[in-house]
Amino acid sequence: MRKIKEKWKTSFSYHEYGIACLKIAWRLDRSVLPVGMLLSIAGVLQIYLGLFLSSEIIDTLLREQYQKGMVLAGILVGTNFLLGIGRARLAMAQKERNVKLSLSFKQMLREKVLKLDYESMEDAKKWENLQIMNCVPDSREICQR
Amino acid sequence: MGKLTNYELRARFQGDLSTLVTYYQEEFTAVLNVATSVVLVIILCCSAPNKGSQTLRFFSQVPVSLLLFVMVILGIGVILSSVMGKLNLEFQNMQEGHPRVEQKLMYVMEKVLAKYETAKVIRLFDMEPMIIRNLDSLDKENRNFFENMVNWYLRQKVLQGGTGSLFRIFSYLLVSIKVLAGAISVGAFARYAGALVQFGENVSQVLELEPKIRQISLDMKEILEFLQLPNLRETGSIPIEKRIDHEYELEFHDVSFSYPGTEEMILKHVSCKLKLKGKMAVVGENGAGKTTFIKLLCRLYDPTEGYITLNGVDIRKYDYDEYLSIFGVVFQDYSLFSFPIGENVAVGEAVAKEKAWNCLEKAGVKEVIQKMPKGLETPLYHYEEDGVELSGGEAQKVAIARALYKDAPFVILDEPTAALDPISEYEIYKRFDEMVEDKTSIYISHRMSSCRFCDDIMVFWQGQIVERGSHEQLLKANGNYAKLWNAQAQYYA
Repeated sequence: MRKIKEKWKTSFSYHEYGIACLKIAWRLDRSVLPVGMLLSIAGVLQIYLGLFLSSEIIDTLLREQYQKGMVLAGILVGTNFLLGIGRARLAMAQKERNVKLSLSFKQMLREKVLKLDYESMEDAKKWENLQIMNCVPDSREICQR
Repeated sequence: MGKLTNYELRARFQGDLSTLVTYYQEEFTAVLNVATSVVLVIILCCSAPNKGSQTLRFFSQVPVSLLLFVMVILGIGVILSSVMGKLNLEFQNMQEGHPRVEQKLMYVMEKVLAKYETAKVIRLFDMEPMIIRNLDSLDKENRNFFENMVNWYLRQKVLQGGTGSLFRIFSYLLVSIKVLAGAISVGAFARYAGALVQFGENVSQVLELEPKIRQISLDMKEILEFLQLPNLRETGSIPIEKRIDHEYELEFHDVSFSYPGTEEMILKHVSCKLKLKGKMAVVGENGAGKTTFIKLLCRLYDPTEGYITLNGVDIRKYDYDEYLSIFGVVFQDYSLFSFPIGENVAVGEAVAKEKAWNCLEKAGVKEVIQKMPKGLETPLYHYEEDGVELSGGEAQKVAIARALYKDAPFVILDEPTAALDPISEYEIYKRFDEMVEDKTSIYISHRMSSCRFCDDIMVFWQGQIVERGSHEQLLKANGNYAKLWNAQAQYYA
């Protein structure tokens, strides 16, 4: 059991870094995560509300309660329409925020590079890190002797 | 340095924060979906039968349908995890070898085919067949890789599709049994069948997202480590006294230094006081410790042993940025940026045009800049449409002007005339007095002749100051300085 627990823990240990990144995202823009969550909730709500109302409509029609069926169909179309619009707007907001987040993150990395002491910059491993992040283009690209 | 090439580095890092956030959001949607569908499936399983045959009633019983559901999930889970595990390993192995091929291809395309300089050699030595042969072999490897990738994706899709279909069949079967056994209404069939389909699709979605999240999270690990790097340069809080008379006195107290990660002492027990407002030169052979001496002075590094004081106070106690403000430095490897010339000179400040022109004049490059159509506004280098290229000498003079513009009490010139022709070099020496005015200047050079105009010369040898004095005194002493001087002088005799 302990082995399985450990294996499970190691298999998903990368989420530790993922969560640390989500914390950074939260620090950079407090609205990114809530907007994403709202979008998820709206998506799931739309699916299950659709399923629930569809099943109710079928049962109502089978019971020959056509008027109730029409009302339920109206509610189904209406909620779908409203949730669809809501989701589209949220998706747009999320895209916009993601672009901003990406830019702020790059900015944050560049600021860190500029604040980094010279000694660290001369360290090959750290230099490699900087290049990986692509926040320091090849020096030939920005300056010449 | 063991640096990786840009291609290798970029290949290793494929995601960014917003992509990771999006993946997590998609996973949250999938998990929410799974949770909702599980609740519905439990409700479905818990609905008791009230009609139908014995068999229908048996399979529709609460514990049996729950057991069936769990068994199907576990069965599919086991198949997926074992086969997907093998597939993922295969994918990883495939990807590991690929950057090497891509990198080599990029090398041939960028550095061999598209490079003007190599064109001559290729033609003169008739290298075309060799290059084509190399490219063919690389293309073949590349093609194989992509064929394997397509194959891999196909197998993954078949596996996912297959298990998904199995689950759908089971779902419809279970819901149909429940309807036939009277446990749920006909309309509820749509609800529960839909919920089961959602369950299957979203579990599959989570399985697809996890490797992606894993990849980016591990890439981001390097960034997180970088963001947590401590700043090794401790900064004090004492501000630098602003003195119009530029009376700043720097002193090395038994300073020794080895570069981090090495044991060899580059500077050994260096003690010296920099003469106020003097013109000093630091000379010595390559690797004698001259540039390291300057790096310590500018606090790019801290001494391994000993300490440096400014007006009697350890320089580590001063505010770092304020301390740096007392130096105007031109290093051998100065850098100019692809910004307007004015900004290159006035770095960090609004360009005071008159002052900038004055500094450019002192550095001997004013006329060249004046001839440019936009003057100080002219952008450097061809990264901009109207950018200009400066010759090595002109660029070095602009770098000197930048150091002068700072109007710092210490002017440090580390091989400032290395890229200059003899006439320009002579002009710089002639103007040196005017350039440094009442500041303390430190001049580092290999060319002994260029140190003659300094009134205090420090001779470095194997990390130590072995001699100090004026040109005449040092020649008379007939020591290291005299040896260096004579060694260079013989070429001009």
